[in-house]
Amino acid sequence: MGVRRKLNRSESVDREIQHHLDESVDFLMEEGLTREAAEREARRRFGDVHSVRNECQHIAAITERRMMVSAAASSVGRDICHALRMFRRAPTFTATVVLVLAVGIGANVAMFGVTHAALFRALGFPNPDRLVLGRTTLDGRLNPLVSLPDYYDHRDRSESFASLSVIREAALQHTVTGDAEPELVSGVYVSVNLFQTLGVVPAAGRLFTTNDAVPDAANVVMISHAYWQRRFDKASEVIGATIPIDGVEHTITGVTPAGFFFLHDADIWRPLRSVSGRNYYRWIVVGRLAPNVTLQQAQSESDVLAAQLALAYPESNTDKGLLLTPLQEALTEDHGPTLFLLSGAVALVLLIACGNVASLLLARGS
Amino acid sequence: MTKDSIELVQGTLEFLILKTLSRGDPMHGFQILQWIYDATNKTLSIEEGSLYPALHRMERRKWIKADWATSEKGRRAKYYRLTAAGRKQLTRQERQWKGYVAAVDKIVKSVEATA
Repeated sequence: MGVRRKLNRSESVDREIQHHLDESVDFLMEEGLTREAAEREARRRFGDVHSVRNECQHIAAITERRMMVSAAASSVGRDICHALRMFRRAPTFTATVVLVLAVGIGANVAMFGVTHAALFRALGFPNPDRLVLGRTTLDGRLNPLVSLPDYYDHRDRSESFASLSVIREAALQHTVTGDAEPELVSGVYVSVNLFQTLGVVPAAGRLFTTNDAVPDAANVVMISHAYWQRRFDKASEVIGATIPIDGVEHTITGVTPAGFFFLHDADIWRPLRSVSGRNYYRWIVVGRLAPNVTLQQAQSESDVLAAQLALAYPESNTDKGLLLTPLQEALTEDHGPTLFLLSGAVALVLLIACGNVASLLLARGS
Repeated sequence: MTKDSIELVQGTLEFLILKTLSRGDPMHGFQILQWIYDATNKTLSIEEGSLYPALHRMERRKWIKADWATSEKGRRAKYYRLTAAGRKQLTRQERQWKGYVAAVDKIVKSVEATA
């Protein structure tokens, strides 16, 4: 009973059915029927050949699938057993290999985490695609920052924005005293409408209002959710309470939502009230485009305004413009190439790790 | 087939196949059928085609195993034989079948007695 080549699914079913019919014809002819009559009778007894064939092929297809799955599972099982045997026989060697691979894979995972966070994760604000960054151009060259008088002029004259804000480029250190131990915290000055521009809703209390921007208004401050938790244990009485910042009492008006950070991960946020010179570039402009206004339209208007300012203040504003860029794009443009380069580098580290493991195995095998 | 041949009760075919193959020798489909006919004096009516889906399902459940081989007539045929799992299944089905027959038999007799 030698086996020839393996039959495929439908051949196998067809041949089995044909074999049955042949045997049946033989049997009936032995009983005295003519070949023709025997063939007719064999088919009658068999029933519907077509539907039997279909049913058998369907069953065979399921059988094949199950066999493939169980073959794959058993090969994984064999690999695991082999790995465990190896580990028992040569623990040091196995540990080395595992460690080399772990470093390679770990570096890649870490790098991907950073890249993903920086480049691919959208800004955590509503309609982030409407947010733009404004940067000064001087004679065509880009300056990431803007001066306050220029910002005020653009804010007051522009109609392209639902809201145009600034945030100080650097955080400042402040000492908070009071009942608890004195503490050094980081604080950032922002225009009072920054939170509205970003679409942030306070976790407690209220956001800044235009009244908070008046130079001799009461001193107010917003605190971060983390600071609220850390120093005040999330007490709701904190809203309206005062804390001494650098020795001056400030009333807490609100708490930013948990996880909120924008350019700075600050503990306290303070309202901008001052004005400084047109050549004092210390501010980052962030705007939310008005509904139905495109970036190009906003840029055109900004160019017109810049030209007007150049006429009004030729000493400081000649050849000065305000370049608008989608915020998400602007935040990553400096880091994109670097991050991709680093990703490539760690991918190579993994490749080297694999190479090392391969040569270790070869050295051991020879 | 004779007029008073018995229709097969649903699910009985698999049991009959297991029982037939339990005799030991690998058999192809037509031999299995012939053996069932001979053993029952042709009182059972089986639509012969239905044998094959049943065989293939049983093969999938690993109750039987199949191999292609050349028959004594020189034809290539698919031969089936019982596996250990099939033998276990046969024992289980035999027990169920006997219980079922005994129960039906009791009912038949009790109805006859009261009639």
